[in-house]
Amino acid sequence: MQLPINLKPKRAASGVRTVFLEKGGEPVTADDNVDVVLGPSFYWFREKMLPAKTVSAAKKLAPSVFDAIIPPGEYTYSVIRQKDGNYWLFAFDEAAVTAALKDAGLRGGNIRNVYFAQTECLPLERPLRIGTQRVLTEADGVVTLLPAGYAGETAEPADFFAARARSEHRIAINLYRSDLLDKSSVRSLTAVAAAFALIYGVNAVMAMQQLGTVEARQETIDNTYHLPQTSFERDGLVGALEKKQQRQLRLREKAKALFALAPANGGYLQSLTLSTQKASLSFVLGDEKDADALKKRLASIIRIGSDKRNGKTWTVEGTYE
Amino acid sequence: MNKFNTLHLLGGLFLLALAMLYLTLRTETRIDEAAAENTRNEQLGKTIQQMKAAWDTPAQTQQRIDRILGAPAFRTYVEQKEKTRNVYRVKVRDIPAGVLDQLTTKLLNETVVIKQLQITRNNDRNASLTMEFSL
Repeated sequence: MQLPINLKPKRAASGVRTVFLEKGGEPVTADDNVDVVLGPSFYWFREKMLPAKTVSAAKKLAPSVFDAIIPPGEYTYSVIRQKDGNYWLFAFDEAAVTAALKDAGLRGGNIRNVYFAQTECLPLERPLRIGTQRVLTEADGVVTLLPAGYAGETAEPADFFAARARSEHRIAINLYRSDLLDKSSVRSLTAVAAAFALIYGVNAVMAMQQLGTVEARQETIDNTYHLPQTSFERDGLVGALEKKQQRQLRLREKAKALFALAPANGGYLQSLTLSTQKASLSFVLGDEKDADALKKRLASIIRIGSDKRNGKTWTVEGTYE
Repeated sequence: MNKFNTLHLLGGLFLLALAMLYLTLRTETRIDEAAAENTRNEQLGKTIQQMKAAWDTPAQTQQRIDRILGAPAFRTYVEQKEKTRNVYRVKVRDIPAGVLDQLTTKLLNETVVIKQLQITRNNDRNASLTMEFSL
């Protein structure tokens, strides 16, 4: 079915064109942003005095107003309060309107606002020509479609809408309806998304609080152990202490090894001076021939730098790592 | 008002949920990293504290040495204890070999920084010991 926008492109004062959507109208392609006025075939209209003080209260009564007037189906209701206290009540099939907009080649992103002809076409001085067979006219304050034969001189809808600014009565309508997602599914998904957003939000807040606690603990540890600020300084401190510990342990190890040296044939260690990395020893040998064997054993403990023999006295100096 | 629709809301909430999820995951990662760093730092702090207690406590070095030298078995052989700004020097004289062995074992097992150790045999029975400790 080809639907129908019987409006030639023409820009309104706001720079946004207004197109009139009616079943059986002339098709028009619109690539830029547009306002859309729905013809009477897309909605049911009633003007009523209702026992309601607010628009939202009146909206709750709207289904009962249209009950038995419109065919069974799912409808969206729109209510506008008039200055005289009466309410304008509209019922429309949102799916049908969305489908008609889609069929007309209008994408949701291109449609700025949607209006009812009832709110945009009054007062109507001359009937508006809708296609070749019909006219849009006003009868007792109601905008309605009539066969063209009922009207004499007509005006072009494009000229009419271009000359008038749109009203404030935009229709709340979901222009992004999907065949895959009906309204209740979208609502359910929205509720689920909201729940997840809330849960993750709470989680995020709790996680940030926990992070604060962990970071505070970090500061406590630094203060407790008087840790330097940078990892470079920390590594330097640990390195220095480890080096000191290693040297001291090595000194003790060497001392024990040197104490255990027992020259053969009644020889003995006359003196020992040991510092970190240096050792100086003096032996009195029982037999001068023992020096070589002793030197071999000593070489396994320290790196011998010099040795001097004076009779049976053998003096050795060396180093160790 | 026709610009408002539930799909926009759904999309917005979905993005918000994703953003919150991302924020949560990122924060949890930071918590894990910070907690791991805390564990590392605590371990490092304990190591540093232990090593400092062992090798970097000049105030306690003299006490530890004096406690050993003050023992009845050794005190009679202590000839001199001299303290300078950085060094604590101890001279033990004419100490029997067996007692010297006990004393050096005790001193070498103590966590003090030994700068120099000097042993001189006097005769068959006794020897002298000089030790310098860093303060």
